[in-house]
Amino acid sequence: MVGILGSVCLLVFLFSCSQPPPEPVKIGLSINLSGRGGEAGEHIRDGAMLAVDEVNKSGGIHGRPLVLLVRDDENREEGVINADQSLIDEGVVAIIGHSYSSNTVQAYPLVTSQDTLLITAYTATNKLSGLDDLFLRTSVDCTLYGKKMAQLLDNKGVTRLSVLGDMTNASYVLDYVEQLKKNFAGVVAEVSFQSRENADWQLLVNELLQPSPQAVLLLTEASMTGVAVQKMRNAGFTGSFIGTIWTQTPGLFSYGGEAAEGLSLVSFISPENNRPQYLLFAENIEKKFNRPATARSSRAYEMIMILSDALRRCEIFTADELKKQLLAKKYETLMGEVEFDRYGDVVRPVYEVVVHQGKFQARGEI
Amino acid sequence: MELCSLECRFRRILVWVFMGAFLAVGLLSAFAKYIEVRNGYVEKMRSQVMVAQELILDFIFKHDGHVIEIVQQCPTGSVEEVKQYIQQAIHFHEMGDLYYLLDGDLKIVLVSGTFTSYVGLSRSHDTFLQSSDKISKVHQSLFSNKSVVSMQYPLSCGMTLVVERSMTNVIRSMRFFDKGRMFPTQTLFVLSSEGTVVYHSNAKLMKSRHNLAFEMEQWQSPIIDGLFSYNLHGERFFAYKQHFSVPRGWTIYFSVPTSLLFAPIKQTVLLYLAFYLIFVGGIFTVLQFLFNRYFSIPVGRIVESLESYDVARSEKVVVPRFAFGVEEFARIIDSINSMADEVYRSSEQVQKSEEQIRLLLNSTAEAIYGLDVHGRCTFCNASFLSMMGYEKETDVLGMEMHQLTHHSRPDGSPYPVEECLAHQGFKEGKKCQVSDEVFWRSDGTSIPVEYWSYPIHLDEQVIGVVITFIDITERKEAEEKLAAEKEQLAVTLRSIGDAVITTDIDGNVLLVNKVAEDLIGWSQSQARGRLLPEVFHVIDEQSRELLENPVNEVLQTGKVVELGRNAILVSRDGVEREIADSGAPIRDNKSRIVGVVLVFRDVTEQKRMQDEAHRARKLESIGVLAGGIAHDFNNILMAIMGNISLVKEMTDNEQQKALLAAAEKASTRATGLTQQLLTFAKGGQPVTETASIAGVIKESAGFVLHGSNVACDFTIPDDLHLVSIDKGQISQVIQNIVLNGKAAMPDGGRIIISCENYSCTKDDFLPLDPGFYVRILITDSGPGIAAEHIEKIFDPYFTTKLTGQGLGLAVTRSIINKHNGHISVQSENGKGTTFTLYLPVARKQTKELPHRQVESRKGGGAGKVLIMDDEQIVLDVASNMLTHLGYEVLVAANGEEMLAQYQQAADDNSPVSLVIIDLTIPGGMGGQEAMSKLLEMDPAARAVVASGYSNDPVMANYGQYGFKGAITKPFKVDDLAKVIVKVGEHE
Repeated sequence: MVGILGSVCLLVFLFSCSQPPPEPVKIGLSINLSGRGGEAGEHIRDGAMLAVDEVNKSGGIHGRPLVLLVRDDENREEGVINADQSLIDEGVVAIIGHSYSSNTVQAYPLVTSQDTLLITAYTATNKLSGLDDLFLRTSVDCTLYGKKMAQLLDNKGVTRLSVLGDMTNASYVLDYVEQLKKNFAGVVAEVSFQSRENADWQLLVNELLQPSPQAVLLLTEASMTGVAVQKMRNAGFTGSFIGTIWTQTPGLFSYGGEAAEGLSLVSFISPENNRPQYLLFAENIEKKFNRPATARSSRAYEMIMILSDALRRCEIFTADELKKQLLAKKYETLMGEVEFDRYGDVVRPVYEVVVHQGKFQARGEI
Repeated sequence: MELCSLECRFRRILVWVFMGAFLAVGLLSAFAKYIEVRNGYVEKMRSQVMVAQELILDFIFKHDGHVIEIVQQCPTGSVEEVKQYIQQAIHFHEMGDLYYLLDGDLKIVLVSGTFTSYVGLSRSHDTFLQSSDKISKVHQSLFSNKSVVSMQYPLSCGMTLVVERSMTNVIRSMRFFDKGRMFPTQTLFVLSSEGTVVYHSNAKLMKSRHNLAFEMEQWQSPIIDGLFSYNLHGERFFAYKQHFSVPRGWTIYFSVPTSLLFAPIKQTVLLYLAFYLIFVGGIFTVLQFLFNRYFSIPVGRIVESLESYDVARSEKVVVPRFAFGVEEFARIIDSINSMADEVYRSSEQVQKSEEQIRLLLNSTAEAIYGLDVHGRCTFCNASFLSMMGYEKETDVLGMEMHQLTHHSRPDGSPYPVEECLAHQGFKEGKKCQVSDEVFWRSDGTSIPVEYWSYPIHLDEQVIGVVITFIDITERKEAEEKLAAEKEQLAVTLRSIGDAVITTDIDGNVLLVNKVAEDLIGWSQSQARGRLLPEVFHVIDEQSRELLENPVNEVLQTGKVVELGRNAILVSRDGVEREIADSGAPIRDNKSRIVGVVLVFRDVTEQKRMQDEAHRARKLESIGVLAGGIAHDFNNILMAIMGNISLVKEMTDNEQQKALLAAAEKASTRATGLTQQLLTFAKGGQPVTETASIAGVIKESAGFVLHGSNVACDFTIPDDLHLVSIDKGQISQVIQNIVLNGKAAMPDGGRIIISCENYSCTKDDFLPLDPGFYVRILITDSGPGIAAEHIEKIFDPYFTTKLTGQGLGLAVTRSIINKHNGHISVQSENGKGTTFTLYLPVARKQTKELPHRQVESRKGGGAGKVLIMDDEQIVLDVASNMLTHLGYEVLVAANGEEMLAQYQQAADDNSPVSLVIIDLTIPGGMGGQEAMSKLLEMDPAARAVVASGYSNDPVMANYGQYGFKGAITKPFKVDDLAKVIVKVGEHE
C-alpha cells in the first residue's frame, strides 16, 4: 500500500502545476499607435515597457509583478472607448493615456466613472485642470503653455501670428490658442485641418500666409509639422516657425528636413538632460529598442516610475488609494522634481527648445 | 535503526525497491516520450515555417517582378514623360498599397491615389531613402497612416520609384495557411530586427507595430534542434524560428503552448505507470504471501518459543518442532535445542566457578572490589567489608565507590572523581598502583592504603576494573619514622662544619652537604648522580696535577684514606682552596661497602696563618741576628763617635774639626741604620717625646724624595700642636708612606703633605678616643690603589711590588697604633692615594725647646761616675769622655762588678754620684736587674740607662725602672754631657 501511495504522490508531483504565481498588478497604456502620428506612440510604449521591466526586476510591487497592458486608441473616438473599456475589463488599477488631449477628454468620463485612475503625461487641455477627480497628469496644462508661448513670441518680437491647428486633437488646439490669446497682444490668424483626412496643403499654406505673419505656430504632431514647414518654405515664407511639445520627436527631422531648422518649440522636456538617471535610461532604451530616447519615451518612463512608487505604498489597489499615495510625496525623477497639487496637476519648468543641425537644443527656461 | 518485525522490514524494503523502480520507469518513459514528441514537433514546425516564410515573401514581393519590368522599360526622358509612363504602367488593387516617384533630390514628383498635395515634399532626410536598402523596416505611411514596408527601385533616369505595401494585407495571403493549421493553438508571427511585429495573426499587433520581442521573456533560452521556449504574459510556449535572408533581420516564429507538447508525454507516462502499478502490485502480493508462509511465520514461532523459554526450568528442549515442511527450519530448531542444552550445562559450570572464585576472593587478606564503567561496585570480598566497615556485600553493590570510599584526599580536601587514579582502569585502560591515598570507611575514619587498579577487558573492550588494596597503616608509620630519621641525618650532615660528600660504590654522588656545596660550587641537586671527579676536582698544589680519586682508593683498600698535603680543591667557579680531607667506606649492616663518604674542610686560612707564623718566626730569628749585629755595631760606633767627638773637643784646628764633623755625621747615619735594625728586631714601644711633627715630616720626606723626580709640597700651620712621638718611628712612618707614593709615580709626580689640628668626637666614627689630634694628610698623584688591594695594604707581607717585602705599611700601622693614633687610606683608581694619620697631641704643650747647647766643657764636671758596659771599647771611650768632662771615672764590665765597685766607693766615703748602666749584658746581669739591686743597695742611687735599643721599654719608660735618665748608644760627648746635666737638673 505504501508503494502505491508513494507512486501516486510521485505522479502528483510530476504532473501537478507549480505553485500559482503571485497575482499581478495591472496597469493600462492607451495611446495612439496606428492613427495619424501613431509612430510617435511607439516611443511612449517603449519607455513604458522599459520602466515596467525595471520595476519587475527590482521586485515588482511587494513581490507581485507589474503588468502593462498596451492598447491602441487609433486616435479616434471609437478606438479610445474600446481600448479603455478593454483595459478596465482586464482589471487595471490605472490607465496611462492618452497621447492626445482630445482622446483623454473622451476617455475621462468612461475611465474615472469606473473607479479607475486616468493619468497622463501627454495631455495639456485645460478642461481637466483644477478638478478633484481621478485624473492626474505629469504634463503642464495649456494655461502655462499659453503664458510661456506668449512670452516667447514677445521675446522674438512677433506681433502677427498664424496658427495651424490639427483638429484631430481639438481640445488641445483650442485650449492652447485660447490661453495664448489671453497672454499675447499681437494679431493671431487661426487655420485648422484634420490630419486624419487627406489635407489640401496648398490651401492651408495660402491661408496661413495670407495675413503675412512674422511667425507660424504649428499645433500639429511631428509628421504634419514636417510637411507644413516644407510646404511653407516652398511657398517663400521666411518667418519663424513655432512648435509645441507635440512635435518634439525625431520624426520632425525626417519629415521636415532642412525646413525644420530654426524651429522653436515650448516644452517642459529639456533635451539637454545630464542627470545620471536619464543617461542610464537613454542607454537602456537604445540597447533594448534600437531607438534613441525621446521626450515621449522619457515621459512614459517617468510616469511608470511614479506610479510604481505610489503602488508600493498602497495598502489596497484602488484608484482612490492610488491617488492618495500619488499626492502624498514629491518625486525625484529622471527629468527633475515632480509634485502633484491637490487636483493631481503639476507645475514644471518650461523651456524653449530649438531645432539646430537636425537636433533639439535647449535655449533655457522661459 | 528502529526495530520492527521481519515481515514489516521485508515489506518496507520491497516498497522502497518498487518505488525506486517506479520512479526510474516514470522518468525514463517520460524522457523517451519527450524526445519522441519533441522531434515530431520540430519536424512539423519546420515544414510549417518554411511554407509560411514562402507565403510572406511571396506577398511582399508579389509585384516585385512586375515593378522591375516597368522600371527596366522606363524611358529616360523628361520628368513628365516618366510620370506619365509610371502612371500608365502601375496598377495596384489592394487597399493601402501605393507608390510615389522621387526626383534626383528626393522630392516627390508623383504620388498615387489622392495624395497629390504631397507633391513637392522633400524626403531627403528619410534614412531608408538615403540608404541603398531595397526594403525598409515596417513603418507608418505618411500618406495612408497604415503599417507598411517600402521598396525602392532606382530608375535609369536618376529618379526613384517607391512602392509601399500595406502589411495588413498579408493577412489575406496567410488565410489559407491558417485554414490548414496543424495545431489549433499554434501561432505564427514575424518580427523585424527591432522586435516589432511584421506579421501576426492578431492584426492589431501588426497595426500598432507591437514590440513583441521585448515581451517574449527568456526567449534566449537554449535552442535544441531549433526548438526553444519563452514566456509571454505568464504562459509558456515552445517555438521554432527561422531567419529570413531577405528582408534582412526578419525572423519567423512558429509557436505552440508547452502544454501541447506535455499532454501526450503525460498521457504516455501515466499509461506506463498504471501498467507498472498493476504489475508491481501483483508481484508484491505474491512475494508477500510466500515470504510469510515459508519464512516469516516459522521464524516468528521460533522467536516466540525462545522468548517463552525459562532458563530456570532447566528444560533441554526449548523449541517445538515447527518445521512447516522446511528442512532448514527443522535443523535450526534442533540446533537451538542442542545449544540450549549446552548453555544449561555451561551455566551450571559457571555457577560452580563463580562460587569457587567467591570463596577464593573471600579467603584472601587483601580487599578486592570491582567497578563497572560507571564506577559502580560490581562485587567485593569479605576483606573489603571488614576493612571498610560494611556488614554485607549488598551495602555497596551498585554504589558509586569513589563517592563512598574515595571522596577525599588524605588532608581532607575533595578528591574529584575525574582525577581518581583508581578509575583510570576503565577510563583509559591503564593499570595503576597507588600508595599515598586513603580510603574512607563507613564510620567516617580513613585508612592509608596501597591499591592496584587493573582494567577488565572483554573482546578488547574495557568493561570495568578490579581494585585490590591493603591497609598500610603500619607501613606508613614505619616509613614516617624512617623518613624522620633520614631527615635528622640530613639535617645533621648539613649542619656539620666540615664538608661531606657521599657516593655509591660506582662513585656517583649521593649526598652533598651545605659546606661541601659552598666549597665545590655544585648544589646537591646538581651534583647528585654525577661521578665524583666531575664535582670534586682536586689537584696537587705544586705540580698542578690531578690527584687520584679518593673513592677508588677507599674502595680498593676498604680503609680510611687521607689526601696528602698540598691538595687543592678547584671549585666549579675556578676558586682554589687548600683542603684537608679523608675518605672512608660506608658499610651496610653486613659490613659490605655500599659507598664512600668524603669529609674535607677548607684549610686555606689555617695554612696561611701557619705560614704567617712561620714567616714571623723567621723574621724574629732575623731580628735577633740583626739585633745582635746592631748591638755590636752600635758599640763599635760608640767608640768611633765618642772618640771623634772627643777629638773634636780637643782640637782647635777648624779644618780638622770639619773633617771630624763629616766623620761624625756619617757615624750618625750609621747610627740611624742600627736604630732601625734594632727597632725592627725588637719592635718595641716608642720612646716618645713631646715634639713638633713638622720637622720630622719635612726631614723624612725630603730624605726619601731627595734626587728623585717627585716633588713634595708642605702645608703645615704655625700653631700646629706638639705631639708625643718617637721621632725615629714616626720618621720611619713618613718615609714608608712617601716611599710608596714615590714608587707609584715612576714617571714623576707630586706629593702633598698637609697637617692640621683636629678635634675628634664620637660622631666622627674613628677608632680613636675623643680628644685633640694632629691630622696629617699625605696625598700622591699616582694611579691609585686597586679596590681589591686597598683592604690588604696594611697586611704584613702584602705587596704589589716585585722587590718589596710587604712590611713597610704593616710596620707603619703598628707604629701609629703604638702611638695611640690611627691611620687610614683613601684611594680611587686613577686619582691618587691619600693616607691620613692621626697622632694625639702631647699633654703638656710646652714648646719644644731649641736644642740647648750644652757646653761640654773640659773639666766642667765634678764627682765620681761609674760606668758599666760589657764592651771594653765602650768603657774606654766613655771613660775618656767623662774624664774629658771632668769626672772621676770608675768602670765595670757587668752588674756584679758595678754593684761591688759602687759599694766599695760608698764604703770609701767617696760615693759614686752617677752610674751609667748598659741595659744589655750578654751572659751577665743586665742593666734592669743591676739597677734593681743598686736601688736595693742605695735607694738614692742615681743612674742613667744606656742602650743601643732606643725602642726598648726600659729606655722609653726609664723612670719606672728607677733610672734618672736614658742615653742611646752610640753617643757623643755632647749627648753624655746633656744627660748628666739633665739628671742633675732633675735632682
